[in-house]
Amino acid sequence: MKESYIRFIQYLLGAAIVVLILIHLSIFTSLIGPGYELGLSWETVSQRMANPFYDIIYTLLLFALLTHGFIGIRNIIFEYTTSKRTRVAVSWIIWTIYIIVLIYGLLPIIK
Amino acid sequence: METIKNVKFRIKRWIPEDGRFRVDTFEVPVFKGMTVLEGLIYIKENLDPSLSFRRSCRMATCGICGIVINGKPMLACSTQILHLQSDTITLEPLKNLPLVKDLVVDHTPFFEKQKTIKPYIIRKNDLDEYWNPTREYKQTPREVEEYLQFSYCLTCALCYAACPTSGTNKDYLGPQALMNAYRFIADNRDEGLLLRLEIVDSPDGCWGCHLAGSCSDVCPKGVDPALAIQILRKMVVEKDLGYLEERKGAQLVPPLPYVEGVEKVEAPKFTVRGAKKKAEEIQTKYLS
Repeated sequence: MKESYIRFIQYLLGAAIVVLILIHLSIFTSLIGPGYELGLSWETVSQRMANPFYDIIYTLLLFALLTHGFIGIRNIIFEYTTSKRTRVAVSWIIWTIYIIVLIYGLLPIIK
Repeated sequence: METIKNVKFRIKRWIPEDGRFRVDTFEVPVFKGMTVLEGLIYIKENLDPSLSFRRSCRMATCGICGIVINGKPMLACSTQILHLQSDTITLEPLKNLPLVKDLVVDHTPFFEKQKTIKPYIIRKNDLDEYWNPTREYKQTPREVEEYLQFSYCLTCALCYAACPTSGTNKDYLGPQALMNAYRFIADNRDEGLLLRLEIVDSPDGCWGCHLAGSCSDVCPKGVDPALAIQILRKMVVEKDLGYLEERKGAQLVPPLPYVEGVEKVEAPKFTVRGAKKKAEEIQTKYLS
């Protein structure tokens, strides 16, 4: 994939994360949710996870954070490697770990 | 000239035989308006003839006397000693470039990177006119403004020496080359937009910039390479989204009539043997 596509995705996800994080944080406050303490109780969390709206929000947040983070890690590692072959290898390793972590993160949402 | 005070020059010299730096201190009598370069010349003439440094024009035009003065890359010829407001001045060779001797560095990697972005006007169709000019390219003052500040670049490599990314990634094109790419893209006579965007669209191109802004901070001519790099990023993304297309270069117009009695100025001849042939090869390769 072209570098500019990757960076453009990075920018879009950065903007999306700001919105999703605000939703995520406001769930615990009285703005949307029942307040901080009650918002973190087992009952409330399980109720929330049963709601498809929050499932979508958390799936999007997980996807956005992981993709943004892994692209960032890839960029940092790229600065320490200048050989094309190493960069291709790094990309493969990064995206393999990314897929594993994404599936692992999706499990509690799907279950 | 009346001496105002004595200033210590602490010079970090690269000793190639030993493969390490050595710090020498010299005391220089300073007069009003004396530049760091004049201080270095004083040391070479009176204290240590073995001291090596580069200098040529002495008027901030050639850009060869760039060194690190008190931790900041500056031109020695345009920096007045008294303006530094310090009794001790520390001088070092430019960073991020191979060392040669004392304060002298090798600019080759810097110029090699500049070459990669094709720092010349690219025309696609009127090649005959390109090599044997009979007319002029139409350019309004507003169109000149688009790239004017970027054309002030001296290629002094101060931005390159100040850039933290150039220090960590040896393949990074660097602020000067990227700025130069934008300088030609912004020039309405040029038709190499997509070609140059292709070159800079890489982790070692415009995406390598960390937005430190030190390149713009140290430029002795007030050029803003950091701005040019951000515009390049915007352009690359616009191109991917389909908003940006290759534009047609400025049209050719007949030259202005010459005033009677004023001799016509001929275009300069090629001074480097084989340069024209090589340039034609690049042009043909690009067109194919």
